[in-house]
Amino acid sequence: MTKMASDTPRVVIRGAEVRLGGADGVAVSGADLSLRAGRVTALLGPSGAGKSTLLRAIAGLERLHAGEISSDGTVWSGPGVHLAPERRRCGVVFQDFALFPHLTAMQNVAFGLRHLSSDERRQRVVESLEAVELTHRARAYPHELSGGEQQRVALARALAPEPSVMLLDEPFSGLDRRLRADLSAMTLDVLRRSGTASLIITHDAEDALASADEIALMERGTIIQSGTPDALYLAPASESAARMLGDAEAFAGTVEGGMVATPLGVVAASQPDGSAVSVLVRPEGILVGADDEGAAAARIVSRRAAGPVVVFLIELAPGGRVTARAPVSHRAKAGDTVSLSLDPAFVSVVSG
Amino acid sequence: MSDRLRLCVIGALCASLGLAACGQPEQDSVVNVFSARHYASDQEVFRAFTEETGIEINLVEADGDLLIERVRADGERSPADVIITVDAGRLHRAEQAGLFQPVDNLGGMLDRVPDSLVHPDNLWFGFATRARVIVYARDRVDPSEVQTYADLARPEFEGRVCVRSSSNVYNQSLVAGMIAEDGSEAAESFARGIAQNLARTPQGGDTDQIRAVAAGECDVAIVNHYYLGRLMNAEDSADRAVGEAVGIIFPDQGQGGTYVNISGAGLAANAPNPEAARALLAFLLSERAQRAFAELTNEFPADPSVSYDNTVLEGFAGFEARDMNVNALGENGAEAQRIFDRVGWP
Amino acid sequence: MAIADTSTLHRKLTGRTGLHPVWLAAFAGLLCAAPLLAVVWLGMSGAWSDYLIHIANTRLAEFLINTAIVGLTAALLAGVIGTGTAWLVTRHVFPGRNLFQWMLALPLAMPAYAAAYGWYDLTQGAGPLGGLVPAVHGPFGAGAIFGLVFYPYVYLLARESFSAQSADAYDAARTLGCSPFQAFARTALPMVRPAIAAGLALVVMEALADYGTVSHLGAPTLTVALMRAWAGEGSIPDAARLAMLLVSISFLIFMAERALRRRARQTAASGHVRAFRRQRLSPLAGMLAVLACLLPVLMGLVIPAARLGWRAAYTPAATGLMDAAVNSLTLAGVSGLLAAGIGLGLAYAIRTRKLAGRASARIASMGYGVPGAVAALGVLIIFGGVQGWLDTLWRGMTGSPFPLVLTGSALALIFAYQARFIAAAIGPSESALSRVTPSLDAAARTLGARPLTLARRVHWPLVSSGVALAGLLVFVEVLKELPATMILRPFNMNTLAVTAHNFAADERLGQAALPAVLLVAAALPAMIWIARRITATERSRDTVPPSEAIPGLAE
Repeated sequence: MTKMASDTPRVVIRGAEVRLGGADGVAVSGADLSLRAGRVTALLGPSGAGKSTLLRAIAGLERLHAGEISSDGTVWSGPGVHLAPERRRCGVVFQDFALFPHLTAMQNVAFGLRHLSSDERRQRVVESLEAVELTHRARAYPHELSGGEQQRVALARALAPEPSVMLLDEPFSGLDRRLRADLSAMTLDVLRRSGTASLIITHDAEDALASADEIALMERGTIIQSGTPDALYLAPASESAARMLGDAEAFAGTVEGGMVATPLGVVAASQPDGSAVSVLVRPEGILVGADDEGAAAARIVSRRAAGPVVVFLIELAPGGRVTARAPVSHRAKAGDTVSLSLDPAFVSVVSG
Repeated sequence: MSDRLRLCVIGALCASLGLAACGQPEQDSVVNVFSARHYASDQEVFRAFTEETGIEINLVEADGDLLIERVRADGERSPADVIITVDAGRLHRAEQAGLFQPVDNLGGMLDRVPDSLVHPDNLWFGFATRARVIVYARDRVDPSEVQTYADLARPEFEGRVCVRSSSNVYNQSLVAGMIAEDGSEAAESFARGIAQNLARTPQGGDTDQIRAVAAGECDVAIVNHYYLGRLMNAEDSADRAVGEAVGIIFPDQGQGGTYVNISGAGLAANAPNPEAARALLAFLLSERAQRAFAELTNEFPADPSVSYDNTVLEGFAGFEARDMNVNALGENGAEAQRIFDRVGWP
Repeated sequence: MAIADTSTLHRKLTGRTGLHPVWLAAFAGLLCAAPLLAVVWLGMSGAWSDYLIHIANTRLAEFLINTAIVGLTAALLAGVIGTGTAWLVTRHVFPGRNLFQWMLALPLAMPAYAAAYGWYDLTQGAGPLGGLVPAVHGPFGAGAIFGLVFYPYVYLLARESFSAQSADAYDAARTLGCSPFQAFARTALPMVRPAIAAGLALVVMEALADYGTVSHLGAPTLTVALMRAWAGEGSIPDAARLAMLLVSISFLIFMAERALRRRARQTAASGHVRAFRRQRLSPLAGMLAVLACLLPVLMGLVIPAARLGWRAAYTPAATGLMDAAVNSLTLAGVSGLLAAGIGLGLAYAIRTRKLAGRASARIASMGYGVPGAVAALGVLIIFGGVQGWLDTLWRGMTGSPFPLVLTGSALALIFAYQARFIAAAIGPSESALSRVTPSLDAAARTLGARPLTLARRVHWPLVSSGVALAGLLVFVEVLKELPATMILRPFNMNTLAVTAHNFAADERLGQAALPAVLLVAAALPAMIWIARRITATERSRDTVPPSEAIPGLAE
């Protein structure tokens, strides 16, 4: 397996639709997504959005009712086609890890390596366990392992057969925060080094932004936006996409002469004149200046320091409150009257 | 265990105690019978007994060995009045365990029974007999070839003999009788000959051996006579056909006679109702009871003078029975079983 | 820790008396073990004859080989049928699946000796199938009969285990390159292995303790040697010694099963259990599945029963069958309830890890490996001893012996049944109790549940199906039980099993048929009830609500 990142996607999902039994039935509808070799894609969305179902569909554990999933030109799922899970070379880390309780860590890792000779298999198991730093626990049964260790065994087990795609279903959700950070770093490192295309389901935006090469946002069965973390952060395609990745202020307005008016000033819009739009602003994009310096006058309601940044809650003169973030060195304090302006880099105008 | 569960358990225990109370026998005009038999004829006899005397019968039926242990375990408090078994060996063992007390001649009734069927000290007696006979395939065997038990052990019958397992008491009593009459060595050489001549591994009961002869799996078999009688009297025509395909030989005629075993009874040592028990024992020898055994169970009545309505059985009767006290069958039973083990009769 | 927490619960439940329930359970366990201990005592203290030497020199090897063949054949057949059918009904959708769920358990109601009589009558040379199929006889034939009538033990336990499994492990295996069959063989199967082993242990113990079947089919096992020592030789101590040998073999099987269970603990990594969605079979595969489920029921129950019934057509029906049926049901019902209670108590006792509790539970379950007649003998010895002691006591006080209350009462019978069959109740209760994890206790208590509420609202719903299964197994066992019933029952009290046996033993198959068939009919309502109960809990456990898309659930 080469370790290069390629621009041709390893797995392409087009218009995927999955129906499960249930009240409304459709768990995934019209989802589009591409996974690239050597890149880690985070699939982010609220619970019930259909993330796990999409992952299971990629692995072949669910059938598609419409759409197509293909890999390197081979159709995995499509009209009248369903490649069995065992023939897709997908490594899956399940949410509860799904370790085989009757097998030791080592035997779990060796499970998918039946096609190898016993020497090769032993070597691969050792390598895989080394990669997750678990060689000393090789002979332990799952119930003897801690949660973090179980997760690492599950990761090693999925990676051992050198899958072309790795699918991880909220792999850190059951673990405590500190452990999660360490494990997350290790996992991403291992994934990138393996050169597979990886998809990690998460509902933690910070996690996704910090770790993934690409992010796909999913809501109600559909991928609403995908792209690099900074692109998604700075240019969300909708208000809900914006909120999935962090705080945002939204101002409704109408385009007039290529511009939209907001309480914080006027911004340029590409939408045709007369269309209703939302102006989305990240808290970092609201610049807090001295009084009378800018257009909008406002009063600071509270100032709260959070590590490197300081968060201002600001009451606008026409009414309404916004949140702004600035470096902790910012001098403004509660009760000050300030002027606000917008940093265009943090502003996006979306239809709506 | 939760409180609720504990309540359930206590409730169940109380319920079972209640059941236990229902099982207690009444002391007046009853007789408690422990029987190893379970035949329609016995039900008929007991019904007739109650009808004639007004004495109720309490009945427990169980296999002979367990029956003996039950009476022994209950000791002097045992409710047993009359103990009935289908084999002299069991009677012998019960007697050895001291479970019987002697009966007088039951108002003359016991005089009707041949001495060979009565324990020397009147501790028990036989009320019906069964003969261990040979059946043969009419189309394949010349009956003159099989006139004695020993004939079956001859090399000519290699692979032609069917007989049930040596675990069965009927076979044990047969060889026990031979030990008493001819000595251990003769008995062992007979058993060895049979073991060598077996057509198949012993399996099934006596009826199955008769069926095997009729079906051609073997040519001769050793069985108790009433199983053949039952087939010949059957309602099922297929069963009657089996009965007709085979012939019966009472072996050792003129050479000591055919070995017979008994259905026997005795008075329990600690019988709480001895008078009622004696009445029942006497009734077992009455003409009415004797007829029932002959007509419903195809057994020979212990009283040779009794007449009955059973053509098949009448056809069998009139053979020479071995003139030996059946007590010997019990005395030699263990020895017989060791012979089987040694010669490999499974 | 689970242990600490449950014992806190126990302390709270019984705190005022200061009596730890483990002692109650231990007492019940010892009571159940008493007959076996009496047999051991008899074997140790009884007079020695040279019979054992004689047997060792002549037929012991044959007995041991036959015992091994019978046990292994029964285990193989019961394992394949039980596991296969459990897999089919829990994971697939095919016509009649719901019906088979409980019908597959029915052959358990067929006494092994009755099945043996029926099959032998059919297949012997003179029978209607004679020459067409090999005659059912010898150790392999006997093993096959046991496999056919006892596979429901494996089926019931494996079925329970399959439906409690999370689908994730199976899916994980699929993504790691396993075909559906490989995924079954390498993950689902090993995970139900403890359940299968528990079922097989019961099957083998039953097979080894049987006398009627092996003696009819000409497959002399150790039990036959034992009965020959007793009946032929008249040496009960030697019979007791052979019984101890038999129990030791059962004990080894039992310990092996335990070891297996301990090694691969079934604790899931998290409480998350994703239920399986059943796979709809194609029409052809569906027909094959129907056949696979139908054959065991036909061969274990319908065919032998029909053969007996055919013979019944030519014989007058036995009288008093209604009374016998009522007696059978009463005894079996009371014993089943009682055994379910004691079994649950002993399962709790095992959980406390107190030596006394565990040891008594283990000893109590040994009674299962004892041939019925020997167990009955043990009960007689115990009762004889207690009666003698009561007599002495009573005589000292009143001058007359104590009334005979122990033998010949329903109490005696129910005691004997507990002693013999409690093992069948402990296993299911134990595995049900293992579902009650410590975190559940903790969660419920933090939500304000008092100990009794905890038992009622958390423990009971979780263990009830296992306890019901335990009660049912004992119920069916008691329906079929023979030697103890024959010898300990009150006057004039017949049961269906005794009636059937009396006729069958006297080679009157026709008259044996009706009570045998009634026996099965008596077990039927209980079977249906338990099957409905089990499937009900299964439905509520499924995370995916029923719909047309999942016909297995919608049924």
